[in-house]
Formats: sequence, structure tokens, C-alpha cells
Amino acid sequence: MKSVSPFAIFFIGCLLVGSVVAVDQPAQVVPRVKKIETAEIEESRARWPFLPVEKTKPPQFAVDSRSRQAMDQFVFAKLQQAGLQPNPQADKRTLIRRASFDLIGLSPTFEDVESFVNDASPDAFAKVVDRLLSSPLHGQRWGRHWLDVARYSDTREESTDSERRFPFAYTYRDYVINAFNLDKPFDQFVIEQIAADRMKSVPRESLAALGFLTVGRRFQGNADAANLVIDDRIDVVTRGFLGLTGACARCHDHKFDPIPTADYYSLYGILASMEEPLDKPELRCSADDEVVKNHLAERDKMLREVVTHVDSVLAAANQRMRNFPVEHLQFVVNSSPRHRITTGDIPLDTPRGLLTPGAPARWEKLLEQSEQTHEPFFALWHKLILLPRIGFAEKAKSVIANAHDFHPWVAQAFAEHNLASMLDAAETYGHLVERALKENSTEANAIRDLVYGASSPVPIARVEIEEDLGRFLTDRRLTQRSEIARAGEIRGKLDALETTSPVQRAMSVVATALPVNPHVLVRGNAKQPGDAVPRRFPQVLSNVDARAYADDGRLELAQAIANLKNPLTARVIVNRVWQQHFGQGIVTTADNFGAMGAPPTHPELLDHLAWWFMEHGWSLKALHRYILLSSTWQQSSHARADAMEKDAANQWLWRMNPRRLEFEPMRDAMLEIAGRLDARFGGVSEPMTGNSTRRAVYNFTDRFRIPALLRNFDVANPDTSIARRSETLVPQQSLFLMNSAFVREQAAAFIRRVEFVRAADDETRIKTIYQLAYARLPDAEELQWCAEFVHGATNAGEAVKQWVNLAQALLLANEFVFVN
Amino acid sequence: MNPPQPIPFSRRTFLQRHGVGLGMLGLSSLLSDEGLLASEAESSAHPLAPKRQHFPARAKHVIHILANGGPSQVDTFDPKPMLTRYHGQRLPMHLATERPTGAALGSPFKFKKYGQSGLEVSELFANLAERHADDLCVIRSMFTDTPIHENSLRMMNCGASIMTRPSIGSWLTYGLGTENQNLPGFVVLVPRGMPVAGADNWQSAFLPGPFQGAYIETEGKKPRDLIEHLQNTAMTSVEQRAQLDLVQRMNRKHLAQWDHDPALESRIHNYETAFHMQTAATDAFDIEQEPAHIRALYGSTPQAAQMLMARRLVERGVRYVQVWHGTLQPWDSHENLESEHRKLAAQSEQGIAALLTDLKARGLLDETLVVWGGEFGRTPTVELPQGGTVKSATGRDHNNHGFTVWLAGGGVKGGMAYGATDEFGFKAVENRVHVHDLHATILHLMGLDHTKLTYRHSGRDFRLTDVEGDVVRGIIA
Repeated sequence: MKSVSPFAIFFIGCLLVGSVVAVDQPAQVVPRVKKIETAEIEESRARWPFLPVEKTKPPQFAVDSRSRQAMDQFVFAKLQQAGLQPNPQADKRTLIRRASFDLIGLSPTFEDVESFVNDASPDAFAKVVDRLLSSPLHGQRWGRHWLDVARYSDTREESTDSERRFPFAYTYRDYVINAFNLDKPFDQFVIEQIAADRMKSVPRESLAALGFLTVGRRFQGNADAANLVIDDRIDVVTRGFLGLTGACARCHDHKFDPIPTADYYSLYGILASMEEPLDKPELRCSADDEVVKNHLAERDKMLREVVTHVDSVLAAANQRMRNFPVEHLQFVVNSSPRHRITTGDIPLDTPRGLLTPGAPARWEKLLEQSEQTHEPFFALWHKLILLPRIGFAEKAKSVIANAHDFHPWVAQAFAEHNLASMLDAAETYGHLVERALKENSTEANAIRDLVYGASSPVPIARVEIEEDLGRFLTDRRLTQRSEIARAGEIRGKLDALETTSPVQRAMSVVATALPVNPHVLVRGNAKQPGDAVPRRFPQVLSNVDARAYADDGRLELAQAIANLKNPLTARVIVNRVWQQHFGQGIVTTADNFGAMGAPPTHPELLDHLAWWFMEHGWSLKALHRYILLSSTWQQSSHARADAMEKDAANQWLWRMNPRRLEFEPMRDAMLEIAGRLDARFGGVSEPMTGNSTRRAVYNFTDRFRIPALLRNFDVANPDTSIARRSETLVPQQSLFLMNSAFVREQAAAFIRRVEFVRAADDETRIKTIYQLAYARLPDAEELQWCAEFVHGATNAGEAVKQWVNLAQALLLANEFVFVN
Repeated sequence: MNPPQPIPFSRRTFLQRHGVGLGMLGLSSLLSDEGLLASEAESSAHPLAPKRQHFPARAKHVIHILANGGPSQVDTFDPKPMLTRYHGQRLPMHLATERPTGAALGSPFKFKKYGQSGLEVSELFANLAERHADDLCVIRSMFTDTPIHENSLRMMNCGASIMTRPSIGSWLTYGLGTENQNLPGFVVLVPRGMPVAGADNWQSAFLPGPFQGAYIETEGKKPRDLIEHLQNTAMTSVEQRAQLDLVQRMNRKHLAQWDHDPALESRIHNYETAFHMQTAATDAFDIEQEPAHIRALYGSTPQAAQMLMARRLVERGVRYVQVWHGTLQPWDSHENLESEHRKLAAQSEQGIAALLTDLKARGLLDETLVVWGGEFGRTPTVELPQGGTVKSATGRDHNNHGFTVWLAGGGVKGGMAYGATDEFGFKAVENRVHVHDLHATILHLMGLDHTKLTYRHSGRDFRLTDVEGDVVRGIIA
């Protein structure tokens, strides 16, 4: 095993060094499934998602007069086939509102709308799109979409309300927002999130990208935590970038897609060959010297405390191995098939103290090793343990009498002794080991070396203790409950300190000194390692990269994903972008391009977009612009009765899909209209419930406690990569809008705005409210309704309340919440 | 993994095509004024609208009483005279659990036969047994995968100990909808705080958010404050009605402009439902409205108050109610088991007995399945405190190898003990029932085939019981 630097790793799941660690977990029963043969992988390469992206020619026969972009022709051709007409272009007010929510997640101002409506130049809309794309608010909007994919959370899951924050998750969130604002080429974005630490020339800030791997669940409390963490990372990488459900191949070959278990473990080898440093790298300082100096001093103290605790637990665990040789050997006897007198497991309590559950197995291993090497100390043991329990004393006598070539102490001790049972033999052996620890002689040294020396499995390595302390309650533990509890306290203290750190750090990873050589685990069971597999890219994509990686392979993996030859990466991301702009993807299962996913409705269009995207340097902003300037995107969303009859689900795109705003833009837009939105960039997360006025993307996402409010509004579950949020409409949403202090507060802030206060009469006031809420003026009918509504107040206080009621009504109405 | 299943609901077609929740589809004239829905509403797309079962149901509602922490089977519903005989000695068998345990610990509680069935129950639940022994269906042969609270709670509630999976209440509301749109279909009652593993226990996971359990802290709060945003503190009801009338006027105008898009229509309707919910939901939680004799029947503990709420909720059509004993893991008697278990039983027993009596009196027990139990049981051997001596040992460790759960009402046989543990109560040995089997049975009683209630997520059809689960036919009446 490699040595571990003092600050290397602690309390984290992925401590797999050199090989797959055997983890005790009852085997999961999995039904027999077919095996994937190499020929099948070969054949699968002919299925659409695995075929190379083609430069497709737009069909020429389509309604060209209405096509603004090449992509329109693909859509119009399909519409023609389906006997459908596209909707006409939406009016300008609708367009700018749609573009604004799509690109920056906020509504346009009245002035924005008016200036666009009055701009008769042919590139008026292009100017709007360019302005929105260059706004820093854009990264905050699109960053949120990506954070859904990246299962972003500010906490690890815990079972109770204990310290569970990831102190630096926010640096990953800021990295993502920044990347969208800078229009970081998507291929670069991919590589940095998987392997920023392995890249040659990369700015220090990009280390924060590795949060993509590390902000997931930690499966604390599970014997299998280390493997589950890697499984989560395989899942987010394969579904997130490749649209493949790779994690399905953990226990058996993928049932529907050409991903054999071997591929899963190839990826496993790559993603297991990394660890998270306890001492995380700095991104940049964000406070003055004195504060930083004090913080760093305090932090150093805690890091040392961690090391000291591990040292002392390690010493205690090894001391138990020295204190209880008799008890450990007797445990082995009690659990042996011939000498056990009870059924089931063997109790851990002994007259001299409690054993730890993982310890006796190490003595068993020592005995196995001794048997194989024919060393003289336990030679007699191996003969005695084969004797039957009944009549043991008699038979033992003759074995001992005929004994020779034993370690001299053994010969001597057993010659003097009448053994009643194998337990007696264990006691004698144990005492010899104890004696060897006290004496200095050739005989003593030989025993000490055998039991506690470098090649013995009995002594415990530091890395095992670290792993043990990082979990709790597993049946192979070597530590005691109090030691684990103390470790938890120290970790909590360190995390609490880091959460208020004036120094920003990356949730980065580093490659392990030696890469993991993976084995297939039969049915996902770590106790049953099968064939060795190389670290390499999935075989069905071997035309991208077929190498077996000599090093950990993480950079190679990243480069193979972000590769022009990769048929999936570009298709998957353009489809995700399409889904956000249209409400549904060309492939409606955005994270599953496999056989169980939906086939593309417009395969040529998908290829066209993917090709176009790569040709334009993987630029997402270019892609947004291309889509928004198309006739397809600019269609109105009217639910034309004739078309509804033929294609209610709008799979052929005869209209724009109207969409309910997600929770974040709905809330942000309310704050903005109220003049209270805090769109400040970056920094530590804050809970968005309550009085916070920050943009929702800066919400403190707590895996352990997702507020019911957010679940009711279908905010993404941070436990797993979310390709598409549910879009439900339930009364609980209405209750929030009708009754929450938050919405009331925004409505009240509305009428405190200077535009409202300055208004001279009711008509102007109503117009002001409409301008703020809907960026338009009310028509005569609306004016009349509103005027009737606010009339009848008998005093000033009541009048104010009526105006707030009116402002709130506008926030409740469908016009505010739907984007057409 | 499951092969793709035949589609049980019309909604599935939509789900598969769109991969998302349902609300964006139409919803017209869905609810009657009472908020009670007829089954033809199935054709609508409201996620919580009632749906047809796979086959006729025996029960319509579930009240799951969680004695969280793990009550000891040998001290409650699984008498073991042999254990008493071994008291203080090593058992001839031993099983590893979470912590080291030593010699046999006989139960300090007396058992007695009750009812016509002669079901044996310990003094801890004497009142319950006195009145309802013949209603109880005691499964003495439960077992689960791990002796760890978090994992076993997730197993008990979600059918998976580690991975993120929807809870059974979410599955049932997904599969059956709920009968009263003025209330959440799945309600979670906790006196204060959260049980171990928190909201995992009632999560909807990959099912849409509205199927998640509505978590409610019940102790020391007025009914109107129990559900978030249920009340308006700024306006009178009349003012709010006037506001909504204006909103709906605007909405109807908007709807006409956009060619009557069904999603817009659906949201218009939600405001009316929400308006009614404000009074209906407050009412449901207001146990003060109960007559004195009913309140006296239940008793005055926070646990008893929850039982009464649970009855009021199922009476109003709520599909699934989780009733937690308390925060973290109250039944986790690692030490002082005798006094701890006595205290815990005293807090809950009267309320549980009253719940059965009350449901029965109202004719609701037949259609309500009541389930009582923890996430696992406790060892028949004494737990050995680390660093302490065996003398100070007075408790039992977690035991996943064997434990007891009882059911009542809702189509199960009363007055029976099903299955058995070994002679010491350590391990289920006869007619073993895994948690997956219990889940399959609950779904069955609710009219759902656990192999057909599936949801497509991430390229796979998931079910509550994964690839496991057999309906325990022997307990069905």
C-alpha cells in the first residue's frame, strides 16, 4: 500500500488504494440477465446515437420563405409531412419576454419592450438577443440548468441535523455561472469538470470545476459507501455528458444498451483513482491579510488535530491487537467449523475486554498465510485445528507427541500442557505471543515479526483507520464508537470553520499515487471480484478512443468525451439546450439516448445542430443565438384548434410550447419587479426561503432538508442528475402565491416604488403596476376592473392595502407565470 | 431491473412521451364543491386525482404508526419463555448486530393471553390487547437487511436502504391519487423535529414533487399553522375572495387570448381548490373540534393527538398517513430498556388503542389499514456498553434478523400471529417476511400489483419492491 501524506485524505469514501477494496455488504439478488457479446457491441455502433454526427443537408422543398435559419427547413419539412402548418411569428412583446426569460431568467422592463417594439430595423431582435447574451444574468440563468444536471448541493446527506455542509460547494457553482458567462467552449467545460487537476495549462480557478465530481452524495453510514460514491460519479458523467445510463451496468451487463459490466468497471478504475485532499487548494483570497492569517492559523491547528486523532486511533487499534492475542485466537476457534459450540456469529465480549468486529478476521488471515508459508510457529496450530472437538484431548496428545520442527517455544509450551480443547491451544498460543512482545531474543523476535511485522495482516495501516473513521457502523470496523464520534466532532469543527473561510478553495480531487486496477465485481458485490479490466473508454465508443490507459486515465476520459469524433457529447448538449428553449428536447429523454430512451423526433435536425455547434467552436452562446433567430423558435404559442387535433403534444413543433416559469425565475422576477432583486455575483450560498433577496441560483441547497415549497414547485432533487424537471400544477403552488409573506412583501414593495408613489391618479397608478408586472399598459377593460377593485376603501390605510392586493393579484395571474 | 411493464394508467402514456409530470395537461371541471372526486376524473391529468386500482382494493387508506428506533419484539408481541430461562447465560446461538451483545436478557414484562384468539401480548400493550387482540394481525417473522437505523428506516419506508427511492406513501398516491384535493394525499405527522434519515422517509425521489409526504410538526401548534402558507394573515376571507375574483377575471381574458390552452385552465382551477383548502385543511387538523369523550378516549400525549389527527385525515380521504413516535429514534433502548420501553408504551398505547376503537366505531377500520412497528427489532441478548462492565448492561441492541410488525383492519385477519422467530426471538425462522414482502402486501391490500406499479426513470422502470416481494397471502382475510 502506498503511504499517505498527513493531510492527504480523511473522512471520505473513496479511499481505494491499489485495488478494489473488499467491502462487506450482503450480495444483492439480481435476476439472471443476458450477457453482451462483443459482436453485439459491434452491431450497436450502427444504432443512431453511436453513428458519427453527419453534416446533414437541409431539405430544400420546405417552406423556404419562412425559414430564417437552415435549421428551420428541417422543422418545416417535418411539419409538411405531418400535414401541419407552423404558427405565425409571435408579436414583438411576446418575443422579447420569451427571450428574456429564456436567456436571463427575468422579465424585460417596460422600457426594454417599448424600445424593441419601436425599433424597425431588421436586426432589432438580434440586438435584443445579443444584449441578453452578454448580460452576466445569463450565466446565473443557464448555470442553474447545469446545476440540475450536476446534482448540485451545499451539503452531504446526513441522517440527522449535524454539521453536513460542503464548505466550498459554492466555488463550483460560481465556476459554472462564470463558464456560461464567458462562453467557455463546451469541450473545455467538459474536460475541466472531469480532469482540471490533470490538465497542463489551466487557470487555477478552473480547479473549482471538479466540484462536478465531488458535490454528490456520500452514502455515509454504508459499508459500501466508497463504491457508491464512485457509482454516483459514473452516473453523473455518463448521463450528464453522454446521455448513457452507464450506472445501470454495475451489477450486470446493461439490459438494453451496449454497455457491458466490464465498461462500468473500466470507468470505475478511472474514477476510483482519485482522492479528495483534506487540505483543499486555494482559489483566491477574499479578505485582508490579518483575517486570512488568523484563519489559516486556526485551520492549521485543526488539520493537525485531525492528524493527531488518526494517529492516536491507529495506535489504540494496534495496541488492541497486541493486548488480546488470546481472545482473537479463541474467537477464530469459536467460529471454526470443527470447534464452534454455538450457532450464528461469535460474541465480541471477552473477560478482558471487547474486540472490534474487524479484528479477528485479520488473525484468520495471518493463520492462512502461515499455513501457506509453512513457518514453524503456527505449524502445530494447523494440525490441532483439524482435530475433532469430541475426543480432542486424546488426539491432541498424540499430535504433540509426534511433533517436530516447531518453534522451540511451541514445542516447550505444549509439551508441558494437557490440552482439553482447541480453546486451550489458542490460550497457550496467545500467551506465547504476549511473551514474545516482552522479550528480546531470536525466538521472541521471530514470533513478533510473524504476527506484527511488515508482512503480517494483523497490524493496521493508517489508511484503513482513516476509512473506518470516515464511516460509522460497519461490520468490518477496527475502531471504537467513541473514536468515530470524536472524529465526527473534529470534522464538524473543521467544516464549520471552512464554511466561513475568507479563503476560497476548490472541491478538487487529486490522482492517487497508484491508479486502481479494476476488477469486475460480480453482481456489484465487492466480495466477489471477477475478471480484471483495463481503465478505458466504453467499448461501443472505441472509435473515439480504444486505448487502455497507462495512468489513471481521467484526463483521457475527459478528452474522449469532449472529442469531435464522439457521436454523443455534442448531440446530448445541443438537445439539452433545445429542451430549455422549447420545453422539450428533440430527444425527450435528455439523459438517455439509449434504447430505452425516446428516439429523436427530428434526427437530421439534431445532427445538423450538433455539427453546427462543433463547427462553431462548441460555443453555447452562438447556439442560443442561432436557435433564437430561427422562425421555429419565434412562432407564436397559440393553441390552434386544427393543429391541436393532429398533434396536441406538439412533437412536430407547429407552435412554441407555452411554459410555466420554474420556481427560480418566478421568484427572481417578483423580486426584480419589486425593485429588490440582489443579483450580486458569487460567494457563499444563502437559503432562498425567508427574507433573502438574492437570486435563487445562490440558494443554499441542503440535501437533508429540501423545503416542501421547493418540491411543490418541482425544483430539482439534488440527489441525482436531473435531465428535466417535472412541470406540475398543484394547489400548494397557489397557496404560496396567495398567502406567503414573501409574495405579499414583493407586492407591498411594488407600491413603494418611486414610479408608483409619484403617480398622480388611480389610472396612472394602475398603469404603473401593469408596466412593472407585465411590461405593458392595461387595456380599457383591465383599467376598469382594476379601478373598481381599488375603489371603496374608506381610509388611507385600507387604500394602501387595496393597492397591495391589486399588485399581488397581478403576480398571481397566469400572465405573470406563463411564458408564451 | 424490470422489463417494461404494460401501462397501468392512461397517464403513463403521457409520462412516457413527455418524461415529466402531468400538470401541463388539461384539467376541466375536475372537482365537485366538496373537493371530492369521482373516479371518472382519472381521465384528467391532475397528478393527485383518484385513479383506478389494478384490482378491487381491501383498504383505501393506510395509517403507518412508526415506533421509530426499534421496539423490542420479545418485550411486546413475541413472548419467549425460553429466553427467560436462559437469562444471564450465553445463548447457544448468537448473531452479530450493530454493537456487541452478550448474555441472554429475559423480558422484564409479563405476557398474557387476550381475546377469543388468545393472542399473547406483554403488559406494555395491555389496554390495546384487552380491547383489540382479535383485530391484530401480528407478523412475528419480519426481517430486514441491516441493523442501522438510517438504512432500515429507508428500507421500511422506501424499500431501499441506500439509494434514493420514493417512499411507499408516494408510490400509493402516485398509483391511486387521493380522494380529497383539499388535503395533501400523503401526510407525515411528527410531534417535533425529524426522525433519523429525515425527509428520506417520505421522499418522492424521482416521482414528481407533489407525491412527497407533507411533513407536519404537530406539537404545540395551532391547526392553522400546521401547513405552510395555508393561511393569509394580510387579508380577510372576503378580501381574498375579491382578489381571487379579479385574478380569475384576468385569467379568463388571458385564456381566451391564448386559445384556451389546457395548462392555463388547470392553473385557474388550482386557485379555487387552494381557496377551499384554507378552511378544509385547517379543519382536518383541528382536534379541538372533537367531543370530550373522544378526546378522553385517546388521551393527552402528543402521540395520542397525532392518532386523532390521523383518524380525521383518513376520514377526509387522505391516502397515507405516517405517524411517528418522535424525533430521531425514541424506541432505541440501548440501555434502561425496562423503564424506557415502559415510558414509550405509556406515551403511545392509549392513543393507538383509541384509534382502533374509534375507526371501528365509525366503520372506517374495514377500509383503513393500520400498521405498527419500527424499522427493526431488538436483540434478545444484552448490549455490552463499550468501556463499561457487563453489570451496567440494561438494554438491547438493534436486531434486523427478526422483529415484529402488526397490522389491523383493511382486509387482514385479526387475532392471529403469523410466522415465528427462533426460541429466543433472535431470528425469524418460520414464514419469514421481508420488508419487501410487507410492501407487496400493503400494495395488494390497496388494490395494486406491486410488480405493475412502475415509474420510468433514467432508462429503467422502477418499483417499490425492486425485484423482490411476495404478497403474504396467509394474513389476508
